[in-house]
Amino acid sequence: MIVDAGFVALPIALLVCVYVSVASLIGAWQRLPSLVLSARYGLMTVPILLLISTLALVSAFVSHDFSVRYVVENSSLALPSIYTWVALYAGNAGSLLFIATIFGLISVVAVVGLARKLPYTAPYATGVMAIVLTFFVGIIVFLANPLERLPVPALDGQGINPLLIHFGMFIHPPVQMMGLISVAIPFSIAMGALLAGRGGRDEWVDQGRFWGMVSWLILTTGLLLGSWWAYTILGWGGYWAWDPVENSALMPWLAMTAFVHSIMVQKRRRMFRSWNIILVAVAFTLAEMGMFINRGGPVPSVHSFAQSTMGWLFLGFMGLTLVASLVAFAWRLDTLKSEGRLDSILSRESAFLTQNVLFLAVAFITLWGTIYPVFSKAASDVVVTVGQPFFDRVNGPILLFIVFLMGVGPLMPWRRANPRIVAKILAYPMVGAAITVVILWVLGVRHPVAVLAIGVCVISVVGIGHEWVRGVLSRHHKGESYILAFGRLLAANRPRYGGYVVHLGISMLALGAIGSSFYDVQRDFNMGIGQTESLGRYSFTYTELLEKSLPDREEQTARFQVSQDGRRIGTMDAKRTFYLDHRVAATRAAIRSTPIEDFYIVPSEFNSDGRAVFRVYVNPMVWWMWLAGAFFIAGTVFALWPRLHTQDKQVPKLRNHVSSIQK
Amino acid sequence: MLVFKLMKTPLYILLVCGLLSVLSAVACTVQKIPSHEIQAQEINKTLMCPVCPGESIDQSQHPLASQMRGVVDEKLEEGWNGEQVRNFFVERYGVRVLLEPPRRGGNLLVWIVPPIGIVMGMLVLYMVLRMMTRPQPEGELRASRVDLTGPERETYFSLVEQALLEDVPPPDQSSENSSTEPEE
Amino acid sequence: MLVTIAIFLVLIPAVAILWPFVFTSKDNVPSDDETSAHFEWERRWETAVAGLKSAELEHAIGNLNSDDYTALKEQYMIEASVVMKEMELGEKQEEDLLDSIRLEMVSIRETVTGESVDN
Repeated sequence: MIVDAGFVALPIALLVCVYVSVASLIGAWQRLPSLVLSARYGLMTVPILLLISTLALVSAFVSHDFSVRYVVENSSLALPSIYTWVALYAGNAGSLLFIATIFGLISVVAVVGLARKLPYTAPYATGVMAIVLTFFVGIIVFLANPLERLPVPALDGQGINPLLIHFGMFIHPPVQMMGLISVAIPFSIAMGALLAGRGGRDEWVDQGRFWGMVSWLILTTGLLLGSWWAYTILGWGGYWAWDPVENSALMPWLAMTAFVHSIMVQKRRRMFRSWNIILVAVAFTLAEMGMFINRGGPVPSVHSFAQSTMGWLFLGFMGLTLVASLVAFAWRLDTLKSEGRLDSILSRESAFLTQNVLFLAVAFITLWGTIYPVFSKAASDVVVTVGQPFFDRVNGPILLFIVFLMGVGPLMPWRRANPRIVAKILAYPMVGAAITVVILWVLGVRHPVAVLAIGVCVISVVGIGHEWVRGVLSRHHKGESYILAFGRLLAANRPRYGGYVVHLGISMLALGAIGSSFYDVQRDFNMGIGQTESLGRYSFTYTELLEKSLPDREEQTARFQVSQDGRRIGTMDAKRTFYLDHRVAATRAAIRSTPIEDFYIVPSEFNSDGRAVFRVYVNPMVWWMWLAGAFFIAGTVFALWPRLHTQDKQVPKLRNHVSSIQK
Repeated sequence: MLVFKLMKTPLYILLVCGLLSVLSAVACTVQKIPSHEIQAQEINKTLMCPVCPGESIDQSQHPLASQMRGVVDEKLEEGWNGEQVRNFFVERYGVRVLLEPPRRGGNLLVWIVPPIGIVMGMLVLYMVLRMMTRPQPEGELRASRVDLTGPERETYFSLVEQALLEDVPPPDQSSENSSTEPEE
Repeated sequence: MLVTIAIFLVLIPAVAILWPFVFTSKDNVPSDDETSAHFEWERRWETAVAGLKSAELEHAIGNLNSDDYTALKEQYMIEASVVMKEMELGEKQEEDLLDSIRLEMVSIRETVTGESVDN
């Protein structure tokens, strides 16, 4: 019965979304406050309805209601209840419901804030959000309803894809999907401002920046979680393969990274007005593409994208939002003149713009490489593959240059930078990099690209750190203690120092990527029980094989005693599970992670003669990549932390000052 | 010159760099495995497993992938080089077995477009920056704005500075202001 | 049973949507527009102050040389002062307007009561 309630809630939600879209925009346009308020209240009921549907689905899973098609396709009697959460978004219809529900919730939060801070623009923005929501709920109702019933209930379900039964899958897909749909919020705010004729004013910038950064943080977390999951569960020792699914999630992240920087320029200097609107529209289009490729269910390759009805609809909506954005942009072009001028080519503003161009270059190249095989097939009927080597080779240098720019940028003051001063200050990071290179060379690290790359990371880290130290010292010289100076410096300049924390995180990420890309070592070993082998500083003994037979799967766990430099460090288990129904094997690698390196054992095959083949890796510095995540979160939260006691936000109370003039 | 800079560089920078480089060096100097194995791995990473799309034969755990790895090892033992091994697989599976398109013929396009795009992007960036720094007619900007006379400047500057130092409460609405307004 | 559920589910958004039409209140007046002059002044003030702060910080750190710092500080101070002056003038204009309205109302009242007294 609750399934029926959930089923009915969906078309009702769709009707409400349509109403909200229309009413919000008309109410805004015709200045009908009651209509606007009605639309706003209507929007608030949409998450309620969608949550009822979600609850219905959860209940169907938990009670093993195999009359619901989605439950049959994504669970089984043997599936423990805890995996219901994963099953919710494991399939196409469920993931769409998930996206719609999350977006419903986020947009209500956003609209409440907008109504208070941007009362004129809010209804326009609400209308845009409602249109996006209408699309998703519409697809659910007409094409992919997770609560749809089967004509004849099944006896048991098909179970869930075994690869999804890992802790990472509890958080990576939901976070990733949340990140992608959250791009719609800054997009809606920008579009709302544009439609309201306020695109050329900067009122929307504060909210746009806030939601842009929130969206960026969620996207970053999703990508990092995905890499971590791939690293620990897919068992090939790597974390990023530039495959279409990963690329489609990366591209909106690149555009949003550009956006959160250039929006700062608009906030401070009232420039880049047109650029920011276009940028966020591009980001949203890329996010739509990301969502469509990253849905649950059979992952469509880029080729199969346009071969289903749903694929065409998604493409259509993507095109619609892009075209509509450009049309709105052209229509309101006369309102979009930038006020501020650029004082000097060498300045923080121009550094931000350069950063924008570089990030978009990477996004463009990624898109190009992802789509090229489709073109090639269409044009010459030859199928080519554009894979990891291509992207590493082409994007690598640009990303490295971005890391370098990250170290130089903080040195640039707003408005104008003096080249001599920049060069003088830059000398220290350069010296630091030179020392690093020498030490690396002496200690045996000689791969030219790796050494250069590590040098660039050092420039970035030292540049930021040095800037920080000078900041603390400047306050200290005015009489504050070091600790107080540090605290006050940060508190008074949150966006700046929050940003530096994030940049430090990126440098760590880069360092981990460089170490593990250039100096990873891997080897296959064919071992019998009792055999000892070694790789790098580690020696490992295959001590036993534990086998467990369960109704739906067979598990084989290989146990190792591991020593490092002769000293015993413990036991590691590498597991291989074969799922009988799905005829798929999943591995759980044994990983020992330290800041220096990861020691990684993954089983390749277990032979019938008792011997087994293991792939063993030593991956340097991967640990730093996961630590970077903490820095991203801390830095972003800090940069966004509102000032409770905003001194400079107060326009002076003129009464006092006028009276003081008259005295 | 560099030595002079070196002497002026703050100690903490030298320490941090030293630490970082030693850390990286320790991490990156792992005992090497035999070079022919390294070569095999490098080749494996450029070949795609035909039945598991997107994965290299190095990554993939599919039986065909391990078969192909065996073939690569064989050929290398026979003295083939990387190029020859790759061509061998291309003959059998088509050009799609390569994880990056060959830089020949029509596929040159995929390699050329990125650098061209970047160069164009940089050019556009430079032009835009130049355009934005062009001096604008001052009159336009000033026309709508209120001006400060000489003595006013002093007064207002001190007021501004005062406002910055003071803890100023949030501005109230004009209606409230007029009620507290002293009669002139 | 299903019909009851459906009706209940429809009621939730229906009530929300119709609420503002049934219970029109003061809130339904077009609220404070974010583009009023007041907001504009506040934004310009904030920008000028933020500019001053960052120029000061960058100068203290050593990224900004003294000449540039002096020039920028001058620009920002002028902007902040202009904002203050404009606010003053604007408030003065409002005051004058209110005064003249008050005067008009007084004279209208007098004419009306004068007439009624006469009558």
